[in-house]
Amino acid sequence: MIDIQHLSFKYPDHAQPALDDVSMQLPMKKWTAVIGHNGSGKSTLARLIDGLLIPSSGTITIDDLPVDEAHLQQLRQQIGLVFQNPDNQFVGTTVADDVAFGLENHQVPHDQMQQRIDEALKAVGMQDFADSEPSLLSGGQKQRVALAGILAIGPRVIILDEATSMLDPKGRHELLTLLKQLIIQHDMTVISITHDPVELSMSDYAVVLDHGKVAMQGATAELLKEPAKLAQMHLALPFAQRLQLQLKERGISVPTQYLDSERMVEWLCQQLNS
Amino acid sequence: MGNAKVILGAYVPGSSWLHQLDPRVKLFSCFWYVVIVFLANNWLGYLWLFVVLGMLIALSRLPLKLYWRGIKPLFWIILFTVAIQLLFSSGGHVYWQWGWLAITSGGFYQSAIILARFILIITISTVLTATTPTLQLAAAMEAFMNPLRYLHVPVNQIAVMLMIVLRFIPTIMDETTKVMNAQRSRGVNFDEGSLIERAKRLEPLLIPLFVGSFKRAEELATAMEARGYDPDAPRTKYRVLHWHHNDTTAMVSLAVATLILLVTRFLPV
Amino acid sequence: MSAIEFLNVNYAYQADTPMATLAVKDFSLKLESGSFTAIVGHTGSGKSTLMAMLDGLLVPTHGSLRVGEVTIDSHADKKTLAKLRKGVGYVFQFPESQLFAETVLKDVMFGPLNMGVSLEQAKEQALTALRSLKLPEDINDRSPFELSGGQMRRVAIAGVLAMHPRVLILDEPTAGLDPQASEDLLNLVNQLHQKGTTILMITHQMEQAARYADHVLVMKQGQRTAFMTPHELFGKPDLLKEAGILPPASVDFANQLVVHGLKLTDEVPLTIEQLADQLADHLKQGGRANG
Repeated sequence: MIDIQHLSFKYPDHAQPALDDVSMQLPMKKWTAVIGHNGSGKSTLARLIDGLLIPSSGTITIDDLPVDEAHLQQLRQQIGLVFQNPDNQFVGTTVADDVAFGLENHQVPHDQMQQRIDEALKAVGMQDFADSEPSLLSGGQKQRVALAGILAIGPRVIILDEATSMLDPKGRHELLTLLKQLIIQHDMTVISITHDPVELSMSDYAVVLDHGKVAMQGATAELLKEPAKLAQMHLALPFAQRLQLQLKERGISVPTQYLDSERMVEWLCQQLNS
Repeated sequence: MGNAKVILGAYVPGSSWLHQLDPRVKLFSCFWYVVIVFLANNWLGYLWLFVVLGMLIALSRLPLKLYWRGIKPLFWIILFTVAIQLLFSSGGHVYWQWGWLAITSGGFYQSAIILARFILIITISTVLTATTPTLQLAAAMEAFMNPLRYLHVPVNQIAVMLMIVLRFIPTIMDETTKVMNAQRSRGVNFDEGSLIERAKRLEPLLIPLFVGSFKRAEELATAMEARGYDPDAPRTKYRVLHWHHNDTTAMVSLAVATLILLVTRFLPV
Repeated sequence: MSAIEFLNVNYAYQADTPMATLAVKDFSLKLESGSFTAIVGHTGSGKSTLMAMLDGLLVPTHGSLRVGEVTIDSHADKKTLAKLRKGVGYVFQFPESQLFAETVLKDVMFGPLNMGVSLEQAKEQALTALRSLKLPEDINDRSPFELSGGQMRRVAIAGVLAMHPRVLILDEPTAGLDPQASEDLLNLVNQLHQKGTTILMITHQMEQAARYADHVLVMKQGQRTAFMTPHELFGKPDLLKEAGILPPASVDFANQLVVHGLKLTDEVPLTIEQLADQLADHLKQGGRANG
């Protein structure tokens, strides 16, 4: 469990704290979506969990590992971060060199590197691009390489900091499908900082941040039972929930249980085909 | 991407004997060759240097045209320097004189030497850059910087810096084209008007590039930190250079070539 | 008369070299004045090259194009290109990266001033553009670099709108914006369209194409695969598949219903509202609605 207790953080040049006494417990080996508007504090949260920022007050522990300056090296081993801009996290002059960058930092011996690079690139389907230069890759491909760089280290937690927001729908879909698969294969914990409703609908657990405070948290299916509440906060909803709201406006009541697109189709067919 | 090629030199992929040599050997040999160019003191010495260069060009298995392209951009500078030598050097027989300008046999001799040196040095550099990928060159430079460690020069940091520069040159070139197009679309004409007017027009290009690069640098630094980069910690290396039999052969050949050149110095020609 | 016309346009990068690559091949198209065209296609499909030619940033290798009165071919001189750019505005992808002036107002005035209007006129046009993007007035004298990402985007767009283009090109204008900001921006583009501006919008979001465009241009390998209304395009699953386009979620949902043996109408639901209307009609007719 990632246990966050009374966490606060204020940037030196801002009047308002970015996070204000935030507490949450995020389950391990699950996918958690953290949603909220720009400026809700969600990216700050990602950087605090990885120890890139030091909180003004409060504590974070990942299972038994406290997030503080004394444990930074372990943290970097345990947590991988994929950032928003595909270009600005690609360090190597080729795909293989970029994956190697993290291995070099973690002082992985040279004789293990090639194998770990090959395996990681294979896991994200980029094995044919090992010698490619980044300028020849699409945004989605670069993000997959970033993911490979993380997999090569073998962390338990992957944080996506709006990692799909600059990708086209195809690149986004490919990256998310890949992640879902990896979670299952490797028992990983994913925290996705996002305002993409598709990412929200793929998650098991969700936290809604608003102006530096937790507005809601719980199982995603529970949260999506009441789409109106999320809509009021101007958050983007998955398609099925938007349709549910639209039908409600037209005087059609839809069961209050959580329906994804597939179950929505089934329900409609039951209503209309009998 | 087309522009980046010009800056990053002219590596031409291939599998020749020269392509396969260790980049350290190639970088050192190139440097060494430039030094011994200045040891030649008669036409036989220069002839020998040209023969060596010819052999290297043959070993590179790249078309001669490519080497000519290396000289072409510097053509006017070469011509100017040679002309200066020709007109201002004195000594020997005077063929032509006008005020303090004179063409003398000494001038002919001096300008011929300058011309030969120009061609030798430029072409040997092209041999190096055409047969060695930039990444390998960087690795070789890093290897040569290694002893500086004992003088507390941050060799590791410089190596990472070098890698990032190479990595981001194409990105910044793309960015430049993009901002330039955006400003042209807003009515800027980058290639008209006086020099001062043109310089002024660079502001809408340079400021966005500057601001963008800063933002990029900040994000990149965060990403590198998240990936466990610590400038003060030791790192292992992915790209390790290996010394092969051919590299020893190359070094011995270099020594022999140098010896032959030294011998030419004492021949009465 | 049509506002824009491409006639057998070719564009080759690095023409006259062995590395020449054709980015646009024998492309012809007419667009009506005041139309809203969505342009879709993968990276390298030639859509950006096409738009660059429309703004005089590239000149066709062969063929010609016409915007209003201005005709451009491979021999076009700088004056003609400048004239072309006067009528065409181009909002590049991530346009905030072109901001440079000390203040927001000065940045937005930059385009109009380059077009040769007076200082006062430029200021007026800038202020109107800033207001139309719903930017608070107290930012006008602030540095554009102090603003939030979404605000910077809007200032950059104001900088293009202030030039009063009759043809407006937008390349993925909502990329990286949050859903609320995206919707606001698209509504503004739609308003401009309603006021008579000819709009060309490159987008990967088929929801946007379906909701706002009157025509969709599908590009592939420098050629046009399709040019038709959203209704026609999204009603052709085979064509979409071939072009590698995912239909809007509402169309996809309706297709799923068909798979389950439920066909609503022949009309493809382009938006979630249309889908909800169709469903509501059926549910109410079926007498099973209980609300």
